[in-house]
Amino acid sequence: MTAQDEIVSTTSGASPGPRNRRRNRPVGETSGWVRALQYAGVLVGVVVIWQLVVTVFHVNQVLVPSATDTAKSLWQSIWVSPSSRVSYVGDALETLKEVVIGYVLGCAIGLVMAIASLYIRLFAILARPLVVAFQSMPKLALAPLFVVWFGFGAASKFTLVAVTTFFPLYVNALVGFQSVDLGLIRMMRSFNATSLQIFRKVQFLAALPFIFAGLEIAVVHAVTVAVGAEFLGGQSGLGVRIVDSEQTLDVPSIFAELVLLAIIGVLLHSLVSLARKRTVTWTGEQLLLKDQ
Amino acid sequence: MVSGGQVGALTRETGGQGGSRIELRNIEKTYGLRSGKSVCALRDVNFDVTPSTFVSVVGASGCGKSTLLRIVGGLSRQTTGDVLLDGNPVTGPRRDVGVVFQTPELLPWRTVLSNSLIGAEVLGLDMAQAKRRALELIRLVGLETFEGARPNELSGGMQQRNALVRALLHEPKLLLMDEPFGALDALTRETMGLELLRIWSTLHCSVIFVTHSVTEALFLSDTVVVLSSRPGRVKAIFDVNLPHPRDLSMLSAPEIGEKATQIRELLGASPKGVGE
Repeated sequence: MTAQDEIVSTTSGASPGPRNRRRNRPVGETSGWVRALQYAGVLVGVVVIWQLVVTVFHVNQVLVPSATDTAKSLWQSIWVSPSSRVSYVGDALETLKEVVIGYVLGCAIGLVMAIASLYIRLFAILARPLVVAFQSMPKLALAPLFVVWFGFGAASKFTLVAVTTFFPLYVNALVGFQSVDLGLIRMMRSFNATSLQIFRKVQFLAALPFIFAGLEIAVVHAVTVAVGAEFLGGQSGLGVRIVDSEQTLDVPSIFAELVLLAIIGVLLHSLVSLARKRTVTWTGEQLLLKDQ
Repeated sequence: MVSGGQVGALTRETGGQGGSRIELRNIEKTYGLRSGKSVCALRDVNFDVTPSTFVSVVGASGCGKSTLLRIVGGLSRQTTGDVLLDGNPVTGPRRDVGVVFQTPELLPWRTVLSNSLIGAEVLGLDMAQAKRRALELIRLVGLETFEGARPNELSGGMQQRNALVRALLHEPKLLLMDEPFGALDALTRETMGLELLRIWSTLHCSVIFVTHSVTEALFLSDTVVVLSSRPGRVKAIFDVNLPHPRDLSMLSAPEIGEKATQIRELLGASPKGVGE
């Protein structure tokens, strides 16, 4: 009897191994192109319905601008006069900057704290109640304080983003590190592995699905909190522009700014999600990380 | 199944050093429970493993046979007594010992080849040489077309073969196996047993094989150690007088049948049997 007889047939029994791993998709997952088309189709459908509803039912366009008015506002801002005072391209970039700096900072701190909690007992004992207490506080309530401390500029915004994003990373990474299969650790010990070797070769990689779950949660929070902080006092950023547009009752601009925010959110989330798919290739999608 | 050249290469590499001699002297192991009581898992365990022989340890579930194996491997510490490996006391995991666990314990993100090499990485062996040996062992266990496959692409039997390669990579003189085929179906189990014997015959290490299957123990081993239920003590030691290489027809040999009955009686099994 040869090993071939024992093969588990997944999709094709003929040539198992990494060559056809791409075809072994988890149930329910479609290929990237098909999915992109689906997304585009839904998007176009929504825009068409939006336009129809607004024009056919004569909705007050001051309150709800049509899709074309929104597009016009976006077009003006992005292509016609991107450097003008009324353009919000610069604000979008500012918000993006705050989110990215705060996110990277917060996630890194969360990860380092999780590792520290894993190995330094005293740190874990001290950190856990503080982190939990801190997490129960609405982060946005800190925005005015951070403005006092760090000014109206980007610093107060990315600090708030960092403070918000570190928690999902800390909790998820710690759970990930601790939930590693004890059998794998026993296997490593049978080779007399040091705890650093066990961490690097087993624990960290085993925790990666959890870490990515934290990263995906954090990225959503990051955008929300950055805009919230801008509402409460800032010099530039999409949040600031939304408040400005509100005061001049320029609803098409508000819509356009919201569209930009959505683009930033989707873009960042897709990047994290892509990174996960490239890195964590050994678990089924259905484990932990269903795409929303 | 295996060409002479490969077998020759592997045997040459082990340098004919053979397996190690293991001596167990008055091993006792007590566990402290959370309630403050203590449980004696093993008491007064004495037996020797002659170099390059295949020894099985059988006993009912919970008789401490896995504990015993962990103690020999230096993964757990005995309360009293001595484990001597070629005359030296075992104080921790040793690099001349390989362990195969009940479950394969493969890293899901690694391929067959790189799972085989994890021990070499940890032990800091020469990686080029380790890789060469890994490929030979992979061929020896019949996984050569699956070098690049991940554990989730392998069947249970193939995963255990992969674990066997990993345990053998650093040329251990003693191989410890803790119910390695327990999770496999009966047919695969017999096949894996035969394969194990074939591999063992080319490598000449000593093997301690823990199982709760009396027949499997008798079929594979030169010597079968019978442990009583908790606390585990050596009830009897049987030598199996069957020649190597073994084949499946020997499963019905009177030598195995008679000794199986005796062992089952010792283990206090009802006529229905407890072994399988």
